[in-house]
Amino acid sequence: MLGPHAKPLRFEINEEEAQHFALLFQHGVFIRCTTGVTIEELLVAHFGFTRDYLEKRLTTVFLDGAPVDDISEAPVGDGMALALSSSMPGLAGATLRRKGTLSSMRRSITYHHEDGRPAPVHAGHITIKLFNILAQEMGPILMKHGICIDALKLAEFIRLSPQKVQLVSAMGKNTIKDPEEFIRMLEQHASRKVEIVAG
Amino acid sequence: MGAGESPTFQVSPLGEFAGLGGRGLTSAVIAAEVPPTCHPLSAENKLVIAPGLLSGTMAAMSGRLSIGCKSPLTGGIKESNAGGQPAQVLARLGYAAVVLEGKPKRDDLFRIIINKDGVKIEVDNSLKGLGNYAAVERMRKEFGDHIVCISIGQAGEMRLTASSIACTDMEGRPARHAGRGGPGAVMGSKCVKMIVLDDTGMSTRQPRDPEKFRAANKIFIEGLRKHAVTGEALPAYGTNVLTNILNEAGGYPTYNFKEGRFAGASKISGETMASLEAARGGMATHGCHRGCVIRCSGIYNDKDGHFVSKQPEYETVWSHGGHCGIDDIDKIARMDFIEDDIGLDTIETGVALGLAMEAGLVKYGDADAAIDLLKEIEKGTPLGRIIGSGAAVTGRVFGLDRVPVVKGQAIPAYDPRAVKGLGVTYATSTMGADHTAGYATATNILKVGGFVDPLKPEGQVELSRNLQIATAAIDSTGMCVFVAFALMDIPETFTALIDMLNSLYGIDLTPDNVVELGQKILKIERDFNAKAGFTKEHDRLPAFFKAQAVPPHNVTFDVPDEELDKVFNF
Repeated sequence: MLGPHAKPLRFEINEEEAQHFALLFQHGVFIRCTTGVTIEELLVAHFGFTRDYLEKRLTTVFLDGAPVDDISEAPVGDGMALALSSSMPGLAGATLRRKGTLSSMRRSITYHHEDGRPAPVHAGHITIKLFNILAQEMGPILMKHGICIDALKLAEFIRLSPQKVQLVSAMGKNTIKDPEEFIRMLEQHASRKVEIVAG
Repeated sequence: MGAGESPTFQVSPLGEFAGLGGRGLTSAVIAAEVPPTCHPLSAENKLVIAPGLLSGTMAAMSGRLSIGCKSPLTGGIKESNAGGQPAQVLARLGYAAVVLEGKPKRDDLFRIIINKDGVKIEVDNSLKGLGNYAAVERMRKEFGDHIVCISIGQAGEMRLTASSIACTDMEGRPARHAGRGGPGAVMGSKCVKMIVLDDTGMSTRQPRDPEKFRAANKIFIEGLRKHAVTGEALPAYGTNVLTNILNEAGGYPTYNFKEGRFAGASKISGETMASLEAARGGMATHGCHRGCVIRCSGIYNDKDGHFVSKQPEYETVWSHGGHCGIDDIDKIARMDFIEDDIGLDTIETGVALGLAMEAGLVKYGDADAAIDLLKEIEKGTPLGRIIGSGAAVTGRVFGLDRVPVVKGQAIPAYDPRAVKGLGVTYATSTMGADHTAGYATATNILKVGGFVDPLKPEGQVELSRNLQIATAAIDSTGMCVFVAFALMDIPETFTALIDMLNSLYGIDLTPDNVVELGQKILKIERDFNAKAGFTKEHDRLPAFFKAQAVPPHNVTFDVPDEELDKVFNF
């Protein structure tokens, strides 16, 4: 993931431009954080979301692909993938909802907390994915902490995005006029990561 | 229509079918009047087109149309459901249902015109071989842009078992389909290409108690608007918002149910699609019928801003996306349009395309080759007729043993090994593999008749049973099943729905009555299927779901057969 010797390309963007990057979160981005704490502790204590917000908006949660019912018990270990979503439609959506009435329908894939925490609490990295409305709401806040993504993945994201001009402009502080040139630069740094911080 | 005769029509009172609408009406008529062992394309089958109990009123979300028959795809009873404008208009014209029966022994193609002055049945062979879009355009030129249409494309004319019946939306596009189970083939077997509905001069249906109805409708709408699913997620992203979620859960069937995650999922997600729609001058928020307040549909344009298709639904994106290994949303939208035009069920056809890839006919991921196969269907070539006959036929012809169907109908976009409760519904539904059969629930419905702890293993069977009962009831009202989320979480929304029914008809329904209605419908359908030759052995998933674990969670479907046999113990 983020090796100890890797030096990412770093870009700072204005806070108000963070919304252009909301779609990036569906692919998964790396973020430095305290690991070994519960999902709730991570989101509240580390990233600053309120419990009230989590209760009302964070309706579907996955940890390494397993639906989570109790975010106050599930610890996030170093290197894990945390995916967050609002309420989803359909029987499947209702089934995957945390603490939902239909949760038994997905019992065999549900996250089950094993005894003890996976590792001591320490600084680490996780992959975080934000889907649908939460990408718009939580994404800009997480970007203040800085997110990281493979240069090639970012290049492809920008290439396919209808907002490529806005993305490149934000990252280049309006100095980069040609998105294709920026994409080529990223591709030339294929082995590196890119860190984007909003502030 | 008798052999060699000109078709005739008659208007009959509801009689024994009084008090029924939508699926309740279609299933009751089919069960009462269609011999269960008849050939679905014969004169003995009937096609029943029925709006719901609330259709044609000011009730929000009441524009769903039920189309019932003996299914040429499953051989059992079928209720296929579509949005669009026809339900509202047909109800305002004063009809509880249009029933097509008999079969002309002639090569002519008919159109039926229904307006305030009555019904006309006319020969119109100029419509032969037209896609739905061209056929509807002809009708709009002749009768005006205000009409609504129910039609079949070339697939229905060819009586292919994956053929759908198209309903026009608010823009007059034949983009909403009664897709599942091949109802287009039944309409084609009766030589009816087009039904034109014109409610000019007719009024909205008036409730017995207008004040109570208005108040209930207001509460109902408020519930829908404040719920996160119906008020935010669906309007913003459409049903395809589920792609990222199912993929993350490892329940997104990929490469013909071999895997549970697709690497290209985020390229074809609802979030990506909404972003493209906004940038290209399409629309990410759009209702399929007047009175829809959820507006989960949309308009998908190409990069030059030209219309491609209505926003593809989750199941369509899946069946042509992860199932086929295709991650090009533009090509998927193109296929959606082609299938709407030819008149095909996009789930059945997408699964069939994936099986063609499984068989090596074309490569997984080759969208252009998939489009070429659709053109084969349009032309009616032997290969096209195979694919256009759906997944079971395609699998059989190409000698495949991994064919995801139940009762002959393709399994939709949720892997039953990851979400086993869905597998229970797929296996046991009277409709064949159907993701909407167990869609609706309400906390008070679940508790009516006793409450079972959903965390217990036997709870899944109980849940599936109650969900199917509730869905059958909701399908009778003309309501879109997406109201279920608000019904589930906001009890006063469910109460408001019952209040609307009571104030419209001057009756006194209770939640118990709703349960009874759902149970009655399911019993009728089960009984028909039993007489058609279905046994408990048909209430099973294909064997590979038990034998083959799906990554990343490496789970199989392990609900015992004895438990599946308990679903209809009521």
